[in-house]
Amino acid sequence: MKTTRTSFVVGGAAVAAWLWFGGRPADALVVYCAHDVTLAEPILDAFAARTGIRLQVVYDTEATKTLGLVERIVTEQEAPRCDVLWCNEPLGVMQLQDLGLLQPYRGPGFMRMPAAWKDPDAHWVGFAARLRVWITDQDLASLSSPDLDALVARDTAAASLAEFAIAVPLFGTTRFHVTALWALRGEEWVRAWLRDLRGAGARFVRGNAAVKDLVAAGVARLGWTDSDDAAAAGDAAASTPVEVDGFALCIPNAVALVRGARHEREARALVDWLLSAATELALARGAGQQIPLGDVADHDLPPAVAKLRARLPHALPLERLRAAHARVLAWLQAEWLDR
Amino acid sequence: MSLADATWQAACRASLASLLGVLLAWPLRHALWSMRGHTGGVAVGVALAIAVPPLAVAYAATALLPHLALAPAFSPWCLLVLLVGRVLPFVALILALVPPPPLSGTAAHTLTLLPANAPLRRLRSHVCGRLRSGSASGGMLAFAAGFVLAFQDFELTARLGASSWTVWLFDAQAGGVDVAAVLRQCVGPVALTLSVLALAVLAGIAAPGQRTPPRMPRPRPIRWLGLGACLGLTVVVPLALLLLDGATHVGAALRSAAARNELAWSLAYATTAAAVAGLTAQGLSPRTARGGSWLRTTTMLLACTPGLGGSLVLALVTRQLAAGSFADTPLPALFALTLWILPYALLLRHALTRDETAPGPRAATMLGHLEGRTGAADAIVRALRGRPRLWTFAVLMPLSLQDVVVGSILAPPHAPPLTVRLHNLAHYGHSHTVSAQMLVLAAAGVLPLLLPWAADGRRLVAARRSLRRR
Repeated sequence: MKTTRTSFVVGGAAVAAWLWFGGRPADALVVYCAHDVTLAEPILDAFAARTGIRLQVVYDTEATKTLGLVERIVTEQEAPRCDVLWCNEPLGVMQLQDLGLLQPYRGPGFMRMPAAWKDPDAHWVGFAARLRVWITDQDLASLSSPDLDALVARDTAAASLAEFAIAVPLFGTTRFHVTALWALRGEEWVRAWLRDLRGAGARFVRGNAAVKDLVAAGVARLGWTDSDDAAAAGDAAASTPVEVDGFALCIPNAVALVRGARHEREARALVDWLLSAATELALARGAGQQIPLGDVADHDLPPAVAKLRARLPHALPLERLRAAHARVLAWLQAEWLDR
Repeated sequence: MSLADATWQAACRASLASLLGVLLAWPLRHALWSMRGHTGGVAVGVALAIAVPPLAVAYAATALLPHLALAPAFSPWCLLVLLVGRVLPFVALILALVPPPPLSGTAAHTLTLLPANAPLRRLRSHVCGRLRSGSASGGMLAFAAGFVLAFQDFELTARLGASSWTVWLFDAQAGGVDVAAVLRQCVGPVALTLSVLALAVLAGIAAPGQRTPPRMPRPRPIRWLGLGACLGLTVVVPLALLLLDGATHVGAALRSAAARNELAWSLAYATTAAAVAGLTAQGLSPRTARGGSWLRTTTMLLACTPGLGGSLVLALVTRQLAAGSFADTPLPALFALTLWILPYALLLRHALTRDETAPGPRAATMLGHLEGRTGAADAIVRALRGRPRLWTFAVLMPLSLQDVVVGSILAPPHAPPLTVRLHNLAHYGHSHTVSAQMLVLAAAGVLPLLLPWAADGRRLVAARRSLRRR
């Protein structure tokens, strides 16, 4: 009896203390950020220092993935907590737009970006992109994307794909990649392709960074990853932009204002900051080597980024992915989870 | 792969890891019991093994053993060794703290000699005799704790590319499957874990215990070799890496206001969750009060159920339930964290509170009254009865300090735990800052483990002084 009383007293006191001390400060701008923390943090810190606006940032983790933050906004739609979503791929913001959870904003940043990389109704705007790339060991460095395609096709036919690594396609930019294949080559082709990859023993790992690790460690010879992960491998691996039917797969970051944002004025200031030339330059010069989509001169960019940027005119238009996305997701859930 | 296949694989792996953990931890019981002289080193090793976060183990393993850890032929074995290392310290502590049964080994052996006509009958009678006497119950409790820990593992399993029900559920959730559908799929794994726990608890109930120090076993090279390999990979290698890489950068890492704030929140979550779970377990543990133990056991198993779904499932359910008024506070994260560690709290209390029914405290009180030394007797009784509470807190606190999933899904933007940041940063490889912050996290996990030893020492000194004064 005494123990129960003690438990109730201690528990009650703990809850009261947590409610008292754990309440949210009302003046902070809440940002959900799916971009890599090491790259995003300096940008956001600089914004806070420049404007004096307090930020509370929830970063994406491997434990929740981008979809975690998107799902979180869907769950919180009755009482939104997030003011600004910084997504590292555009499919998530397209999904939120379809659900009516974003609000349009046509600021200076929106005006700065080319039409191909933004929603015409200004619900979201793309900036600072990555490319999907082949990552290979140095022996395969001279091969082009079609050559590497042919190599994988040959190994698939021989059922010996153990040296090819790919991230689980259910989430992240690998899902973007599969969606692009679906949009360009059709449903039947993609179904057969994934079935063949699995049958031939391709290594499916937990993310693009793991693909990079496998190739850099010499455990796999080639794989698909993003250009920022490939850059992190340094000299331990080589990379070549992926080409699908002549299109490059370009994945921009995307920023959006959440409908019902509690700090709209501050949120708009942050959106414009992220879409500025200064931010795109900082992201291009950082370790992630992101490709500016707005008006930044090539000579201001690191050579590796300028080279990647030359692929932008050949990028697959994002609008072509919108229709395929929901169907790809439903198929992957059934296929991958054996549901 | 289907959920059933993934569950089956995880169950086999967890059973093997836990069984090996129990076998390897057996010789540590004596060292942990006495904690004096050279055996104090073993105790410190176990404390460190509990305190080193799995995040740091994965960080070190993939940095130092990339070929071994990632190569298809080796990764299942690497995972098994890492899981054994993960469960070993918890198993060792439970084995050391669960009192042996009143029936002596000689009596149990005599029992096995009676019906010795056929080998099968002898074996059956041996097992039954062991269970009746309760000598197997400590092992079963330890096995159950190890099984739950290994079966729920996500961090190491996902990192080494193995299949498990936790990975399947994560993929389903991150892949956009409806939360309700994901949760419906958890019934099988939860039922399996619950049945293992029920078996262990029921075996424990059949065996009221009395504490006598275990004997130091004869050293067996293979066992010590296995022990060294597991603890080496899960303690020595990660700690060495963190110390070499981060020891001189701790000051710089803590100069960041964000890191300090997150560390403070991590400690607040872990301390509160461990205290609340410990007190709840104390109230529910069948051995606290005499009589009605079946009702208490059922209540205890029911209370365990939410935590057996793992931290991801708990976080998803809590997020759905707390979408309203409390969503902006740390309470949902605290609630989920408490429920997640409650099964461990209940197992620990169930094992440890058997001390409270032991005759030691009663004998101390009686002797104190007879000798007129009630102050000294009270000090001894407090030492004996306070010990389980401190141990429960000391083990639960580092465990909750290491959580990533609950924090990343439920912590409000203004109260994030440090582990979420570290999980993020570890993704990009090694840096002095990450190593230093992980070192701080590990150190914060060691501190509560020193509490029971410090308290025991202080109380014994007080008791001796009181006796001398008389």
